[in-house]
Amino acid sequence: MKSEILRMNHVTCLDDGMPILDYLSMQVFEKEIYGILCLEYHGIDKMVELVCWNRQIQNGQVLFKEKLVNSMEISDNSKNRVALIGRQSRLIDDLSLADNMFVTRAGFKKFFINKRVIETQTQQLLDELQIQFSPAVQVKELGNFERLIAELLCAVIAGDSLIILWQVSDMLSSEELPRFHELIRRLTKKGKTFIYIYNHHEVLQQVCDRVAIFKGGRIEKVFLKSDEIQDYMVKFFARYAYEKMSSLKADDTEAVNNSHPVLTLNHIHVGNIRDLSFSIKPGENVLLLDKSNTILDDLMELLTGTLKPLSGTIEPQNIVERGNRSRRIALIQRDPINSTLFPQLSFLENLCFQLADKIPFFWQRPNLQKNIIKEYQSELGNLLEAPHLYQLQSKDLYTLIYYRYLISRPDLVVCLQPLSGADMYLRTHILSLMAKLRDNGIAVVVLNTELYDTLYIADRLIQVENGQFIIEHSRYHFDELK
Amino acid sequence: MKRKNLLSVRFAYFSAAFGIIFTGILFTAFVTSWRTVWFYVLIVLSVLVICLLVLGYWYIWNPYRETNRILGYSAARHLWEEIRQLRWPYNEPMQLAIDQFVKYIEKSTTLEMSKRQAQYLALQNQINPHFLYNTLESIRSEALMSGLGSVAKMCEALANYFRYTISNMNDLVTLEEEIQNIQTYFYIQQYRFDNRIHLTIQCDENDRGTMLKCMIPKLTLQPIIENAIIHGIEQKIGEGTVTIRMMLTERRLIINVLDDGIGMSKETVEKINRQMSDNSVSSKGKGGIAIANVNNRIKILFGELYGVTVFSTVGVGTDVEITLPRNTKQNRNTFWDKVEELH
Repeated sequence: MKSEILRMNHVTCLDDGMPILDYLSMQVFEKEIYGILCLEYHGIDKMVELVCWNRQIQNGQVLFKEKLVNSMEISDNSKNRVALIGRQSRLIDDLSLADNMFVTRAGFKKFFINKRVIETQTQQLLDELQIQFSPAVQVKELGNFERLIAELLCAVIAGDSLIILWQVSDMLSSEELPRFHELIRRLTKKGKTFIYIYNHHEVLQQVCDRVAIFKGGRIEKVFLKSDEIQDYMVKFFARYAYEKMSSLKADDTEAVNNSHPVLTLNHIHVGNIRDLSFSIKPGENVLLLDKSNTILDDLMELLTGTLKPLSGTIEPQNIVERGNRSRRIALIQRDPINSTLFPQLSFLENLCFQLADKIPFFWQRPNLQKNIIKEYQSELGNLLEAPHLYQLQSKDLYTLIYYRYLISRPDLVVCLQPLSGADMYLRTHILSLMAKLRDNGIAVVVLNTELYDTLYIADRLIQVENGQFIIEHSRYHFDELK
Repeated sequence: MKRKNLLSVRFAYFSAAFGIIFTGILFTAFVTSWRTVWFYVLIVLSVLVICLLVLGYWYIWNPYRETNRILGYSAARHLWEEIRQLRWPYNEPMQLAIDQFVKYIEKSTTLEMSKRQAQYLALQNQINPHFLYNTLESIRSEALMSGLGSVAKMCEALANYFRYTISNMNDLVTLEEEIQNIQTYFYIQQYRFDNRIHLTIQCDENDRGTMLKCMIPKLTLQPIIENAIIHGIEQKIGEGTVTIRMMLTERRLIINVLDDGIGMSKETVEKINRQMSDNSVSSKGKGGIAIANVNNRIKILFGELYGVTVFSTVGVGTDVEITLPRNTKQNRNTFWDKVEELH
């Protein structure tokens, strides 16, 4: 017999009269891993907020452990026993793992802390869950995977019945992900329940008992583990996205093969990178898959010129010099819409930002700006007239970021986990923008820890593990990998 | 209606004007009484005024807001039941008006239910069950004598179906009985659809015994199954499957009816879910009446925390989730007993 941890009946939330959650109904059973596949992100923030807090709703009921905790009549803003683990870490870096688990939890009232006792208790829990950590290790020394485990353990000690995992898979490599899934399965056997929110079904179906399709502020369908989600996704729920992605493959490779590489790394040693070599040519899209999730940040720093190689060469020599006005390499970080845009400036100003570095006195020459508007009017339309970025949607902001480089035409664009945090439709849009860069003769390197949809536009796949080159595949062999 | 005709708006404007003038007078009084005895008197009076304002917030403003909220909610959702919970009417005439209004609502509801009861009894009286069973039995005998075994089985199934639907006056039946009726109904439909439709029933074997003894309103599942066949699978090319999944929790019985038919558009699903949430029954919409009827009966019998939810996607199919309390006792709270309580 199952026990119900969470039930939401016909929950409706409005924002300025517009529905954010539209008759949302779902239930989660105890000891279950309930997956939520976000086809669109609209409403997911509110749903998570309502699971954690009993905020005002306009319709419906929320029951937690079969008790009514929220409805239109009673909304007391109280907190439910739910832990939220996402991109924002709640750990304190300067404390040890044991301190984070015990000392910082609510209800810990002791003035004198016996370190040995809490470390022993921490070690017992680690042994029970077969985790190889030291309880005394400082949190700032932990990697992404270890930090996630630490957050999980904090939630376990805090006694939270329900744990929400929000986009955590982006932080893990393809090797770490199965280990993480194994850990949460073990925790479900100990009575914990999980809501696993992610935007790709291939991750969710590996571990979830049920997977719910979330779109437009409601659940559209719930699949069991035994159902063939892939077929439904390709044929119905994400049909447009898959058709679009299939059409993004490059046609002509002969021109690419005959050109000179824009970047060549020869036997580079620095940080976690061990003897890495690869090259990339104009108009080519290379996917670099870091299976152990150790070198991506080092590689980005190397390409910005922040990190100098201990051995090996980068050709051409001046391509990564800091302060190089020619900006031959462009870097797009994770979540670029929150870190590389100036929302108070207009769309056009943001668009020409990189170009202004290359062309002297760009802003004093209105004819250049008019030419840009004329050239891109058909593709960008009314976006060019936007006086600021505050009202623009994520899709338009990503368009801005990639068109910025389409205009300034660097030799190479490096994208770090470009699909991280993007829902299914936004992923398709981002891939089409990267394909546009490639089709315009700009070399694109995608640094990622997982394959999924990035294979659709790649010409080559380079696999790296523990900082070392493992194998390279051309796109003609991608079907075997899928 | 124009905003300036609302008393609340006029009250707000006058209060604001009064507040400004009062503040001006108070300020003048403070200034003129500076360094006199009257200054301290004014201080004391000001403190008393502030205390009165705080008390006014708790005893007047909060109840006023609650009353506004209930009235606004009732008007927006057309759910006048909430008016009964009004704790703070503005004045005595309003209280009297609300009492009359509630009586009117109850009378209308009772009348409506009585009408339906009368219609139901009239319908029942037109169908003489014994005549029907006897006729079907005769057809069955004739079919057997003629060597038409399949026709005989069909007659038997039809007789069982009518016996369950018409004759049994109880409104709560066991889940086992309801499932048997579904299987009978499906058997009849398969003749029509030439084995194009399939039925699968799934549940946890450990809970099966307890689950089948749960009491549910009669004819909860049959309208849903009928919808799944008529509006889902019949329109589809090829075979179709209806799956019934049953789960038991500590307090609930959850029944999911899934079909792999043509599904419903997003707008239709929204409309159906809105109808069920508002407890309204629209005369339009294919399939919506049956689902809404089942939902209404469940809510009347068991309360707002139970009912029906619909999930559907075009091309994928429709899932209907029915949530009921886990109730294994035969109690007197039948639908018609609820009607009598309202008299």
